[in-house]
Amino acid sequence: MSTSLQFPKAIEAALRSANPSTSRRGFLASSGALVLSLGIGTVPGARVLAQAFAAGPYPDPDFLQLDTWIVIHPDNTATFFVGKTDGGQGTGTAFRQMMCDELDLAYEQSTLVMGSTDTTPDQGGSGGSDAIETDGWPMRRVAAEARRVLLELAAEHLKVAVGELTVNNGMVTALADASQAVSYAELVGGQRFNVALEGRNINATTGTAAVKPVQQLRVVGQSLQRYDIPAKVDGSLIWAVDMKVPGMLHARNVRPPVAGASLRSIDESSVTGIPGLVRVVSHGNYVAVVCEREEQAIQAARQLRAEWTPPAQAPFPASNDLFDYIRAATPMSSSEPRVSGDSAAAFASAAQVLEADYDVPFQGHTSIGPAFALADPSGNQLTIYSNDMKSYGLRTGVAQFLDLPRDRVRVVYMAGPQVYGRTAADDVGFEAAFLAHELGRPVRVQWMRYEETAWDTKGPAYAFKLRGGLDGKGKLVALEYEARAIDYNHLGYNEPDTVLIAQLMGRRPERTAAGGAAMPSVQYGIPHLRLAGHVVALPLVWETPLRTGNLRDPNGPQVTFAFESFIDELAAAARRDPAAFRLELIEASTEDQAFRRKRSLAVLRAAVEAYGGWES
Amino acid sequence: MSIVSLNVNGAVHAVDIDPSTPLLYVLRNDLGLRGPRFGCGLGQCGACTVIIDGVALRSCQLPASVVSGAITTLEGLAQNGSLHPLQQAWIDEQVPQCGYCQNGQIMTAKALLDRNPKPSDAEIREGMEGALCRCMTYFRIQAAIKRVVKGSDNDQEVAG
Repeated sequence: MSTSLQFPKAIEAALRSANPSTSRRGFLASSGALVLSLGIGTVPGARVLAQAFAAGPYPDPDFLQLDTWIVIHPDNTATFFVGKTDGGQGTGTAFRQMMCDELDLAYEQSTLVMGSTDTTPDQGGSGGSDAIETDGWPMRRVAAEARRVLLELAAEHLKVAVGELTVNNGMVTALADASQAVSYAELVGGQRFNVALEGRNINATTGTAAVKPVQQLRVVGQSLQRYDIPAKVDGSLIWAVDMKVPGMLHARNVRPPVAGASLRSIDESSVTGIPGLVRVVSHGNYVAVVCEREEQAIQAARQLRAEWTPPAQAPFPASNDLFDYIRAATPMSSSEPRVSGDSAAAFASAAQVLEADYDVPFQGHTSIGPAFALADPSGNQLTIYSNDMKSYGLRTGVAQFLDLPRDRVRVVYMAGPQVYGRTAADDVGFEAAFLAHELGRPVRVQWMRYEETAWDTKGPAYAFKLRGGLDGKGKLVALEYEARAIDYNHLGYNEPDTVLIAQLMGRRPERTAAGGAAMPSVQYGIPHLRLAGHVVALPLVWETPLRTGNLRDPNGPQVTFAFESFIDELAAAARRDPAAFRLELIEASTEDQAFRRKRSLAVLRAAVEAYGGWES
Repeated sequence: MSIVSLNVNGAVHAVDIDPSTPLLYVLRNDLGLRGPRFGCGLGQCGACTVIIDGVALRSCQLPASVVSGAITTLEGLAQNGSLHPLQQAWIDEQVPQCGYCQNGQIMTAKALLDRNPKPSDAEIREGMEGALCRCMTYFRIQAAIKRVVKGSDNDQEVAG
């Protein structure tokens, strides 16, 4: 069955952007119309196109169907559909490498679609730095399964046993007679596999085929250039911020001037003179202006007169007093200390005891491009164009927030500025969805720089106290570590009751997230060790712009700064070279799970060597 | 609103806008260009950089109506289907991480090399210092610029 469909420019843009190498092939007819087979495509990404046209509903792609993951096209290329996002880490390139290897395709024969909730299976988007380590496995297994199925089809087609076939670049050949050959495209190009997979969850997804042993991998192991870079340096890539849809309006937020302020009144006459003004929206303490043009919205946000009632007392400790406050506050929670040996006794008999405090301030995420999202409510659905690295979470969260059926909401993931953890991409996605839903028109929300700086999520501030005991020979025998983190309202991802608009509207979660005061992952052999952590709250837990959240390597920079700075102090007190001091400490460790000890030694030695002029 | 005429990448466009509209929004929203992008709106980060009559300027702070010169954006660097050597070097050195700021990096580097084809390392750092990258790709940016400088040396040797 085939049908001719009008091709909306917006969708074209989204799809081209989702797949730059495809766009560079110019597969989209310039006429703006496209004939395609429904169900499976005749061009790369055609399934995406087919679904993009649909006005919904958008059921979750079934990860237990091979067709969800892999489409073989008539030109003997494949498109892979994976539920991850690539914020510039290069994971997209790696996914293609892994899947091409299992499928015996050349890298160039593949394209990739990532993180769009209605076309790619839900692998959770990005997070935890485990895209290759965890999510790569089902990708490899489904690609291996596709190869197995294709070889069976080829065996039937060529009347040659599977064991007597070889495959190279998507061409199956009889080992005994190279003239007997059939391509993947001839076998299934433009058709469905219709092969069911198994697995109790997406990470366990598998067919019956085994993945290749590492020795047989040829594409993996090559240091390929990232496929997304050319389109990023010639201006051809359509990023999320570049998306435009017909009738699109521009919104800017108007934030409370101080934390905890409540909106008293808005004087709409202050902006009525602005051409293109469509509406001033307010709901609780959430305020936004919506205009026809972007510069009008910026002007309106600047000009809108709103009266705010500040909170009764100054809610926060002054910046200069922050760390005194953290140290003096009663913790909201304390984790069970991690103890080995008896540090108190060891300190009592130590030749030398050192103590040091370390302070680490809040660290803004401060993306180079402030938070952005576009939401389109056309056709009784909600499509959100976003670079939220957890696009699936955004979809679910927005559906809950607006009380919409989940299958009427979808998120199209597109390139954006860096996402190093829980960014404000979450927050702005909800704002765009809310405004589009409210106005019944597509709304583009772009945070301004001051908003990003003030209101984006922050890595928690920490105050540390460390104590170390050296014996008479300068050996580290005891260490105590105590961390206090302002992390009481630690935000999750895309939570409908903790995103900024929910906070400003007065929604409150039943309880705060526990937060945490992280401990170092000690790779040193220290006989007597005590690690403790406490979580501290600031006043105005739910009215604060100091919303803590994961910033790449959550808590790592704070903890490592304090812990390793103190190791330097100890080395100095022991009159030892800090590298040699550490090497000895690592050597003293007996823990080598996942080669941790060996790797730590190797890294440290390599660093010393790379430094060149290091003098012990 | 009034009609403002802009010469962008060799073509003249007339747009009906409020004359105070920053050039950035006209390029992006009226002319559909994607190279220059919004980073701060304050002229501080460089993401919106365009080249006007050879000078790298921040389009987010520049009213469109005051621009009379020829504007070049990232899209205008490639000639006859061939990437500008800087763009090619950016690919060869795999410069971008997220890539959001790289318009400003490339356009700033272009203006730098146009006025000083053989910058020293110090001159590269000085010339590029206003273009911010949150992914810290500065070392690869410097390597890409040096690759272009070196490439033009080789070209001259071949020609000579």
